Amino acid sequence: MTIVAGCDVGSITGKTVILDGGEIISSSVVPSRPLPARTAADTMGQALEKVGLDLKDVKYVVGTGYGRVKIPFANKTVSEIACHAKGAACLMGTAGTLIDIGGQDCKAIALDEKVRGKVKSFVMNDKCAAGTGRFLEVMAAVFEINVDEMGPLAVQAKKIVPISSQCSVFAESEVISLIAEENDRADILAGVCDSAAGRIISLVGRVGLREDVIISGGVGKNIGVVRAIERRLGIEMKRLPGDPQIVGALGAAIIAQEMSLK
Amino acid sequence: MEVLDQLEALASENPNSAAKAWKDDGKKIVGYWCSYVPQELMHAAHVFPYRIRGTGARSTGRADVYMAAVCNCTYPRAALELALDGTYDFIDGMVGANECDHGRRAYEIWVEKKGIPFHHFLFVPHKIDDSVLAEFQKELLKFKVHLENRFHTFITDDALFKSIRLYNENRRLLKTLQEGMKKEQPLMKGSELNTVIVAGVCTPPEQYNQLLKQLLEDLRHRKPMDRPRARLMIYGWIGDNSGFHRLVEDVGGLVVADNCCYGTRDFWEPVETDGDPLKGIARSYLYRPTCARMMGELNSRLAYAKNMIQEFAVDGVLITRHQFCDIHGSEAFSLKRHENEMGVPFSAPLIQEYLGEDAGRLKTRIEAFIEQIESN
Repeated sequence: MTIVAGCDVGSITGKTVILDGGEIISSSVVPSRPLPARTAADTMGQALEKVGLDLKDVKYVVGTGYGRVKIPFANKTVSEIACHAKGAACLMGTAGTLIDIGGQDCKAIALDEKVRGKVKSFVMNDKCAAGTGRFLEVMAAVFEINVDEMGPLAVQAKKIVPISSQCSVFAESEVISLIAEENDRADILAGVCDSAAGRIISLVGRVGLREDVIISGGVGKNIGVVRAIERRLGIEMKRLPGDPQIVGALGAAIIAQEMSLK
Repeated sequence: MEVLDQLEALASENPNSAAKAWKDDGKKIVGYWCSYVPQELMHAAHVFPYRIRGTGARSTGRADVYMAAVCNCTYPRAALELALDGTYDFIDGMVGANECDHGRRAYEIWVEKKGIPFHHFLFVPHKIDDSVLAEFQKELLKFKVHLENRFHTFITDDALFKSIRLYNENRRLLKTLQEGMKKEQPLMKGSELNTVIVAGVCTPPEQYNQLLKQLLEDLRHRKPMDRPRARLMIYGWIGDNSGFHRLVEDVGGLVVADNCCYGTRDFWEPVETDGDPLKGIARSYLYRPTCARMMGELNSRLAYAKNMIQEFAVDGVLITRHQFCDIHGSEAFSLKRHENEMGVPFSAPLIQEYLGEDAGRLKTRIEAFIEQIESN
């Protein structure tokens, strides 16, 4: 069979998906290192090790993510926009709108009605971390909790304490004040998730909402943010049958599969 | 190519060698802000029209004292910075205009804080019809008289026609270069052509003319560029340097057309050379392809863009603007609404600060747009 891989080097994590004959046989998520090439080596190494393979067994590698041009073993690079669309369409072919929230950027992608996995148009956040994974990490740190714990806590909220600052830095000091005023932790966290959702909603509005809506990227694992987006959009998003965090790497691997057949 | 290196140096140094040589001869330089300020009038008064830009600024700390960084465009702030730090001390006068509110504020702060021997504010109409044409002509007359009085000269019709013909020759040569971008494999990169265009706003027209002629000659012996992944048009950002064009080239695209401040609009049509020269200048500047500051002209700009798209076989349009640019913010909104009529995709607005290329973020967006085009 043909073994190919997709490697997505993001700002917070590096992800790899390995396909064998089109089936996912391994994947990995590792924390990003200062140098993208190291992150790529870490994640690829881990994914290969899980299935006892060596890099030379992999016929074709597509690199994506902000560090894509620094992946030494990539045969080709493709932007994360195209890769997320490709990966999401593989998991959920009926999707109309894809929301991707990663470590340092968030994007809304309108998927083509006719061609599966094709990008019709897209918008991304401007030069600002509001509403991204990094924003949520900073907020989790204020509460001395792991970012994974944020979502389950936020959904227990009795009310949403609004966060008025758009800016991550100011939002942090606002949250510290809210804690000092003895607001309930879950209620503040619900406010944090709602604030992140607010950012993405404006991007979705710009590409135009078309159902089904799905979410990818690490923040797709945060149930607090997912519920907040659903509340604001007034619809229920379809859940991906797999880890939303590896969708970009999966899309890259699918493109690698297509390239290897050429 | 040596001539390209010379043009690159003229465009990227501030003050450049041309300005230094001019000053060494004891002659006067007048800075001007807006592309609607006719260089012909200043040239006919024997002064060197040198466009005010932010070229060479590394930060905006001094300018930010007067123009807050949280709501003002970086381009005029960078230019004001260079006034406040003394870089622009070589100019003997300055012409402002009601181009946009940010540029206008920078001009006013410059005049107040720095003082300058000669300054003139040219009122440029915001709409285009024959009733405002007469008003613009009056404004140009005031400007002419002010120049004559300050620089102790008399601008005759003959001198003005001579200047017009000289600048028209520059326009003709630039248009020839631009038309070269119609080729499937052009002889120049878009970034190179942008540099050539920018050099024209800060080089005496006689010298510029010679350089353009040399360039056209040298290009005949040049190998064509590789076929690009996508042929793109840039719509919006100021474009006084080729930073954005280079980002496009880094991901395999090529900028073959534009609708930017420093670009094709300035040289697309010659200035009239018969009748009253002031009226001719007024009419030609007012009726040429418009800047987004002109109100009620969206349709003419769309027609200009559509013509560019067809003539230059453009595959997609990159909508770009500086952060806090009101004019291009609303233009981008309007453009998106007309995307379906244009036959090619328009990108979401790409926002760029004037200082710092922010290369990684923008390249991802440009590359994804090219992929979107390729998948069609």
